[in-house]
Amino acid sequence: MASDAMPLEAGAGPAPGRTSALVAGEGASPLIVDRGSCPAPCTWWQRAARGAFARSTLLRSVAFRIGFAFWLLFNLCLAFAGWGAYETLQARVLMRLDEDILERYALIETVHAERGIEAVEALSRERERLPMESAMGFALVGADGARVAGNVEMPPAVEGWSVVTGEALGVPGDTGKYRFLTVELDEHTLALGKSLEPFVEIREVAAHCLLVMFAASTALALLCALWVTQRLRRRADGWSRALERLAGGDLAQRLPVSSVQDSIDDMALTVNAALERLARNVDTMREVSTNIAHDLKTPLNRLHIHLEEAATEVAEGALGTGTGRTGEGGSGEADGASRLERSLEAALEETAHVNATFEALLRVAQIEGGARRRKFAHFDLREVLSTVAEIYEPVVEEACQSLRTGFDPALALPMYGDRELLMQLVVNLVENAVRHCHDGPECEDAGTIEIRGGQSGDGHVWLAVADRGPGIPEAEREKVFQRLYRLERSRTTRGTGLGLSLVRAIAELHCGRVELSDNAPGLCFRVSFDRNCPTEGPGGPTGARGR
Amino acid sequence: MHILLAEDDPSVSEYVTRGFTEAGHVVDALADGRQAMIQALQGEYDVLVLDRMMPGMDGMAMLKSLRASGDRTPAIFLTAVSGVDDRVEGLEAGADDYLVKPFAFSELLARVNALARRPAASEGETTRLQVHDLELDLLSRTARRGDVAIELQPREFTLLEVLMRNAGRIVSRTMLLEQVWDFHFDPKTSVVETHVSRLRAKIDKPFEVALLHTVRNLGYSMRPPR
Repeated sequence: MASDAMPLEAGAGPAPGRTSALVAGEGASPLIVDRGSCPAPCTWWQRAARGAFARSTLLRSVAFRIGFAFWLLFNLCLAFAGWGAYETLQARVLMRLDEDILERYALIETVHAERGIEAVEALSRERERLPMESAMGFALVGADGARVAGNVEMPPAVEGWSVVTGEALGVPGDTGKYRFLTVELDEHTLALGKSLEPFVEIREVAAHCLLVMFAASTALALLCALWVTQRLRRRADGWSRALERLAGGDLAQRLPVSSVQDSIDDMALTVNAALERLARNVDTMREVSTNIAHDLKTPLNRLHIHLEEAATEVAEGALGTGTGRTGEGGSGEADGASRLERSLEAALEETAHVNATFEALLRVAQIEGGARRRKFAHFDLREVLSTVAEIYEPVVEEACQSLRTGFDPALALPMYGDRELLMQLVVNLVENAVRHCHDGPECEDAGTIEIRGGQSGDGHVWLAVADRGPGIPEAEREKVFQRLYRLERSRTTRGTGLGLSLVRAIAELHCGRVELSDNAPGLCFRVSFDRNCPTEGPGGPTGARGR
Repeated sequence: MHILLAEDDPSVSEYVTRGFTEAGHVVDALADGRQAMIQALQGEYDVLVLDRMMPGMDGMAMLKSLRASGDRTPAIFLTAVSGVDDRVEGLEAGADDYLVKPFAFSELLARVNALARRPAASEGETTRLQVHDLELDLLSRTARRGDVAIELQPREFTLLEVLMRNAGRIVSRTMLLEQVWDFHFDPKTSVVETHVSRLRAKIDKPFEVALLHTVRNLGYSMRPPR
């Protein structure tokens, strides 16, 4: 039944598996048991029964079941407590009764001791006038077995305590019970007894009380269950409506969140966060596929042109030798051959570019998928930074820039992650700086690229790559991380437009955040990593960002 | 060299076979993983070239069983899957190298040549490498050309070492990236070119005979003058 805890099902259609299970539990008539496996052409009553059950959402509702369970529990407690109280009361009443009888007996014994059995007889006669039912029953039987005196016709013969009915005592039609003490007294038998009527009364009062409480609790439980069910159903209806629209393709739809902030709202919030991410992914996907189509069509088109050129060269060469048209002789042929070679080389270059783009796309996708988390290990980020600085210093100098490092070479920057990917992240940032800050063939000092790194006060490890290039307009800063996005002015330079997407994907895999800021002039990429990065589970970066 | 090629794409198989044959090697090409496995166990091969995805048995499983049976023939994977994970998995399965499709044949040839030479190098641990008058002492990590000692940065030394270990053969740009800088991705700037030109300025420029040659579109080659 655990699966029934989903409030969604309250408003849903018939669930054959579950209904048959319920019915089987009830051991109902075969008519209903058939319902679950009823084939398509059902008889009208089978359909009606199924419909009625499907519509009886109250019975199937979770709130009702919970209400019922609590009601049952409450009544069980009530019964237990009532029983306890009743038992205690009964014992008390019985004790009082016995005490009364014993007290009277003690009195009679005193009379007997002081004035003999005759006095007791006289006392008994006096008693005869009072009825046994309201006052104390009293009987004195002589040694011969004949009743001497008292208001009881037939006193119980058993010695000691006993409980007898009024009829047994000689009162016709009296079904009430009496408690009697029978004692030997100077060869006579003395029986003293009292009606158990108050006893019965208590029982009746207790039963009445319990009944009233039972009725009240039932009514209250039913009302509560109805109210909660109604509320839950309204919310479930909201959910189903939203989910239906979602299923229909409207990804902007969100689950309703009420103001109570209970666990269902928490669930709705989680689902909404997931939907948010999903919608963003779908948007990105749509955009990416359009971009890919565009970005691949361009090189493919160029490839086509180069190959066509090559084919023309080959055809012309064949034609030339065939007809002897080339009067200039060998020089024209050599010229054609070099042109052919150039076209083919250009074609090769285009295929390499297409391949590189695909490679990078797959890599971004793989990293975003989080599969690389398995390869995480502890390493020193400072060592990665200094390695990249060392490798790239000549490259940066070649581009008429200089490379500076801004981190303490003695201070370790502990990281948990994929060293190879972090290396690529830093390399991509440095290469981005090199490529976009160096334009024009004349070599003048294009500025300094700086690789910084450190650990902030709260333990966040961060790295930054800053340049003195033309920078990026504020409005376009967020867009540079999009796949295949390139600033208009860099459209002409070679590149896949995926370097920064990769940077962001790698950073997010390590629970890092990439920030772009103005280096005045120039640009500064800063990546800070969350020290408390979840290290396991595929939902890691999502969870960290959702907070 | 006797090469076993397990590749199910006929056009790739033909292209590679033709290339190896032209380079003077003998190639047994098979398209089925299981058959290739049996063949590898029976034949004496110098290098195995395996596709990762094949009918019958995939390259990974094939190599794992081969290694489990004690076969140590150098193996190189060809694959269309380029994820880093796949590369690591491949190397863990016992492959000695890994090449992502599409590839240039020259790259494959360079790698296969490097692989086939590897056992000899590890048998008698060389401590000295020599090409013409350029000497590299791997123990003291010093280089000299003729009588002139050459100052090298640690990474320049590694670069030169890789080139000299493969003297006479072409070392591709990707091979250098992997072996010298531990980059398993393709940088967009001219990292290799820049470092090679710096190295060249130290070992070749001051001398009459050039030893480090650029092979256009393929890579670099270290060789003595003819």
